[in-house]
Amino acid sequence: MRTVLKSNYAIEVINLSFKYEGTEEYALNNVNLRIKEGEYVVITGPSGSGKSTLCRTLNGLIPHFYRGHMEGDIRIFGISTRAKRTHELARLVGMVFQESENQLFLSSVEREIAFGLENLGLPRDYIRKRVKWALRNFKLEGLKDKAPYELSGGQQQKVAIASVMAMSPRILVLDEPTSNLDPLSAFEIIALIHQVNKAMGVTVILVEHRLELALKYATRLILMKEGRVITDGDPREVITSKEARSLGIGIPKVVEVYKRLKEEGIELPRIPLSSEELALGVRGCLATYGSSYRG
Amino acid sequence: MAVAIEVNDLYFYYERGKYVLKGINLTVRDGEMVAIMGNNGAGKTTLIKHFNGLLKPIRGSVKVKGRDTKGLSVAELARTVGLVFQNPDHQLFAETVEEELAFALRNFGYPEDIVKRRVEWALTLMDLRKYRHRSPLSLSGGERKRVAIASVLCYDPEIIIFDEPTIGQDYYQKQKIAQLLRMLSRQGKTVIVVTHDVEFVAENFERVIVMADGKIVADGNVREVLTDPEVISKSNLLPPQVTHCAWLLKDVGISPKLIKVSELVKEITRLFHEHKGI
Amino acid sequence: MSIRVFEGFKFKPKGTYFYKLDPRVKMSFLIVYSILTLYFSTVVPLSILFLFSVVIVVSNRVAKEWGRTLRAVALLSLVIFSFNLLFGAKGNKLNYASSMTLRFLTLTSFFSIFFLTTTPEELSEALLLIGIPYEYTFMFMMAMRFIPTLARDFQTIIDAQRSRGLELEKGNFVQRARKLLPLLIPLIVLEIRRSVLIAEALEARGFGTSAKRSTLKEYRLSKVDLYLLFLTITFATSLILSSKLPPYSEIMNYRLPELVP
Ligand SMILES: Nc1ncnc2c1ncn2[C@@H]1O[C@H](COP(=O)(O)OP(=O)(O)OP(=O)(O)O)[C@@H](O)[C@H]1O
Ligand SMILES: Nc1ncnc2c1ncn2[C@@H]1O[C@H](COP(=O)(O)OP(=O)(O)OP(=O)(O)O)[C@@H](O)[C@H]1O
Ligand SMILES: [Mg+2]
Ligand SMILES: [Mg+2]
Repeated sequence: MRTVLKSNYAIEVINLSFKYEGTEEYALNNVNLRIKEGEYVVITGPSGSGKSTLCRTLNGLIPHFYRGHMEGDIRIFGISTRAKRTHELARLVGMVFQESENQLFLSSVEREIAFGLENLGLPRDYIRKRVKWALRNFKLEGLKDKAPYELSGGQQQKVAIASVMAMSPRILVLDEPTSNLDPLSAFEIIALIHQVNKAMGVTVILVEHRLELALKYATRLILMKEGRVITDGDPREVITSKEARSLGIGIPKVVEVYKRLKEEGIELPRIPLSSEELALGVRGCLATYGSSYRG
Repeated sequence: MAVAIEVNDLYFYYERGKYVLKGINLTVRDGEMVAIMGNNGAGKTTLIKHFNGLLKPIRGSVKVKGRDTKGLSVAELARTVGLVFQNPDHQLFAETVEEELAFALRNFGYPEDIVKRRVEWALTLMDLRKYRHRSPLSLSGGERKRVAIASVLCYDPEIIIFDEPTIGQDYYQKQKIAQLLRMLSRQGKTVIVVTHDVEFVAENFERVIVMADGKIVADGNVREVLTDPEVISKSNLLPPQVTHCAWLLKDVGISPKLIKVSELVKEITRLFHEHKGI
Repeated sequence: MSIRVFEGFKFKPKGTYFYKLDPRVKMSFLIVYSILTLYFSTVVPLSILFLFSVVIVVSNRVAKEWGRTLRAVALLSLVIFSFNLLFGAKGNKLNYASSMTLRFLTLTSFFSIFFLTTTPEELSEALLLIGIPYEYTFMFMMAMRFIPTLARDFQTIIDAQRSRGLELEKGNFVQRARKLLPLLIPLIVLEIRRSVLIAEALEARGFGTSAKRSTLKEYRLSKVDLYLLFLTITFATSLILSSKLPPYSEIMNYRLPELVP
């Protein structure tokens, strides 16, 4: 059932520029990216910097659904998105959006999960198997017959993710999936995305403003500004770079603490991305104290 | 100080018998700046819609500046209580930004010269002068949000309520909103903000009210409330990142009541110094 | 609240026996009973039909939602009753007015049962099974799905504009008509934006593939389906026959006494 994959990279974005029809400015400006299979990439940057636009290019919504002028190329496992429509790419790239209201259509969770597979015209037995798999893996068995609108915001986003994952994509793109959720539900969604990445080996592209939550599991961080990629690399390096500071992104508090401690002469072994990492760092440092502290 | 909003044993439902608010009691004084937090569906939006009379209590009472909302229309209350909705797309309709700001003023029957002056003031305040002749619908998400805020601020209500002002906003916009809130507070306005953003509250507020499933589970100083594990777990919150670290390091002698970066840095540094002394 | 009227026409998952029926059976059920309701014009058979619908409602635990709709249309039926009583056709006015009202309530009741227990997609699949193209049935389904969303958006818009001092009740006709602009423009803009986002999400779920669509649910008539179909036909036939054959026909065709002026 699988397409034969022709590239080592899950995503290759080559000299990509895009301008929406009827606008003057390029929403994307010569973007270049190479993302390997299994990476967990967080994209952040100011409002209007082109994050959502970039997401749309990854599953072919641009240029097939949104009109405009596109230069350059995007390859998903070596396949150019110019040659494939969104629905054909749906089995490679899954996409989850901010508002669950706009992405849940049916009146039971079970049918919601089956919907994408039905659209692709897959055999009924296969659909049944995938639905069962999704219900089990996303712990939705108890909610199988519930209507999505009866569920809480967090559960709805979970259903949205499960419905996309049922189509077994190799890449999952999420555009601010936790914006409307209370902190705990947001945390649970982030944990779920981590599970998808770790246990299923799916490449994750996550757009977020609130880095406190998002960075916890990230293997790579990309900063965007005015349609360009400003910095791209290891989250620990990017988050402490001068670009990050000048761009004014929300630097997590643990990173601030790390920096301030350094100024005080206490250097933790590693830049922390979560409270757990900071606590661990402090403990380690305390233990090996004496030798490292010259304050 | 005089009382701005007083809620007494408020009960409310949309569908008979399914209570969404279950006995809410709270008092907000003139000039206070208060955050309201709580899980999805806790009833935050429902509660603030009682403050300008869009909803009326089924039991109990809501008083605004001493007057019971029961006998007052939304239009009467709206002059005193400005409510900025979460999504600007629910209200923007005028042909130009200027017209959008004039809308409420004209509804309240202000004479044209005052309308003009107030619009000017709000355009400047929200940094919108250069868009005055643009259609609000053609602006970006962040800009539309600013127009929506300006369209309420322009008639200078004494009490201003924001429903989730920081959703989808980048860090820079969030800082701007925080500045605005502080400025309003300095001018003596009563400011009430509904939000899920724990870090935003820890940084900018003194008082926070936490709701869970139609009830108030905590109301008090941000430090006390946001470092209380029981409150946090009841209302689907997470502690601020600094607090969480402090909790994880409680056993080595760090106070679990920290909420600011500087406090945690100080505590850790103290710890290291003590260590050296041993 | 005017939205209450629609409570009884919105799917309410309860999982009782009526829900498990094949949508085609449910649709035949609706059609047969609607025709019967229109066929009879006397009080007795219409009362029997109404009571029959009540039995189905209660045994499927949807009495609450059904009750809301019936209560909401009570006023309308009162209007129908008085109107027919005052200006009704020649002959027995009380009888005519009563049966017209009863007919209206019974029809409402059967439609309510159908929509309470049938999901939009079941309906759309039933339509598909009888040969209506997927584009149409899908559009119908999406419309049903997004009506509540639209209603909520509209309510929020009204709330937002009232919060800025808009008073809908005030003013003469022209002034009031102009006040609709601040309500309608955001609604249109919002729904256009929303429809783009929905279309985007549909694309991402593989909608619009040229491949023939498959379905998770398989519709095969079960024993219960056949049993209910059989019951429906028997019940309908016996009602019609009893209205034709003495001695039952006398009771079935009983007319209420004329009101003496
Ligand atoms: N459908 C569209 N038609 C025309 N222009 C658009 C469209 N969508 C986005 N744009 C423009 O493209 C630019 C990039 O927008 P985009 O939505 O990608 O930003 P973003 O980084 O996702 O911002 P945010 O953080 O606010 O979601 C902006 O200038 C925006 O106004
Ligand atoms: N117009 C309405 N009709 C019926 N029920 C409603 C309506 N508006 C809200 N509710 C219900 O009332 C409860 C409280 O909703 P409310 O919007 O006040 O919560 P909230 O705390 O603002 O949540 P969120 O954080 O998700 O914005 C929810 O269960 C919601 O489903
Ligand atoms: Mg975006
Ligand atoms: Mg709300």
